[in-house]
Amino acid sequence: MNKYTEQQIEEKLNQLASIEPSGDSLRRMNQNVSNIISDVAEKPTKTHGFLYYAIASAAVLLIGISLLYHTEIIQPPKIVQQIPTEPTLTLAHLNAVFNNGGQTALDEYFEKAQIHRQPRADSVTLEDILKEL
Amino acid sequence: MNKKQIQLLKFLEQSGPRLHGMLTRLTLDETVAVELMQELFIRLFEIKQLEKIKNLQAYACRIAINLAFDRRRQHRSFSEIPEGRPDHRIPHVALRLIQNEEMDMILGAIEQLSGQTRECFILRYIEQMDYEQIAERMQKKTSHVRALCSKGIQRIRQILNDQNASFYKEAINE
Repeated sequence: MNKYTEQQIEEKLNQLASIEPSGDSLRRMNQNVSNIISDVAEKPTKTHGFLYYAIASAAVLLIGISLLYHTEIIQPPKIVQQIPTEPTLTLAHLNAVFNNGGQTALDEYFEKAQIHRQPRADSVTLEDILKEL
Repeated sequence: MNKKQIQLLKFLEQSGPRLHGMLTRLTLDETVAVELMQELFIRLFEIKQLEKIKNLQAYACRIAINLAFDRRRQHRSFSEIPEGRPDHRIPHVALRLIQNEEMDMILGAIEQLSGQTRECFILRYIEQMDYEQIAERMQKKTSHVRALCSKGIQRIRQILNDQNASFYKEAINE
């Protein structure tokens, strides 16, 4: 069996090193690579694509915010505050009322209640009050 | 044209023929060499900060070597000439050499070298650069480059002799 010597290997390597591409191949390479450099540059790269996407998203977001800002929002109706002077009907009051004038004496309270709380005044009757007592 | 395009076109003008020559030697196929040159420049174009690379030539050379051996791995029989295909792809001067199986065996052995040793070995023995030039390009000491080349040739010799021994055994068994 023959063993390779370093010199033999170097000779083979020299033969390999002597290979040169043909002029035609070199021209083709130059032309193709030049075209590729131009073509690749024209296409948006991944980074540019992302940039366009980000700019478009930001623009849509800004338009949305500006529209919302200029739109008048209908205010919800405010809760009517209870007037602190609203009359309260307690057991003591009722006893006093019955002692002084009976059912007609309650009219004053009903009138006041109607002014402050129309729905409640309508729905409360004397019978309801008496039941609660 | 943007800056990167101009830089790459200049680089193509300066180093294109040399890289193309190296790829032709490493692949033994001019068509494949042209394809790999295209792939190389696409990869260079995709680098975000190309201008920051200190030694573009060394960088491109490393990519080219890797591309050539990747292709070799993918197409083990790439040096065989397909039937019915005109043999215009092989330089006429080298036709006799390429048909020699030993050429392919040597490339197969180079493929088995590790990264730095392989790069050093190719630059020294296939690109025939001086040790000083290689040291400058790879940013290493000349003595280190010499050691890597020496290690490379010893390893190549070992691989070729092992292959030779296995062929010899197979032949005896047959």
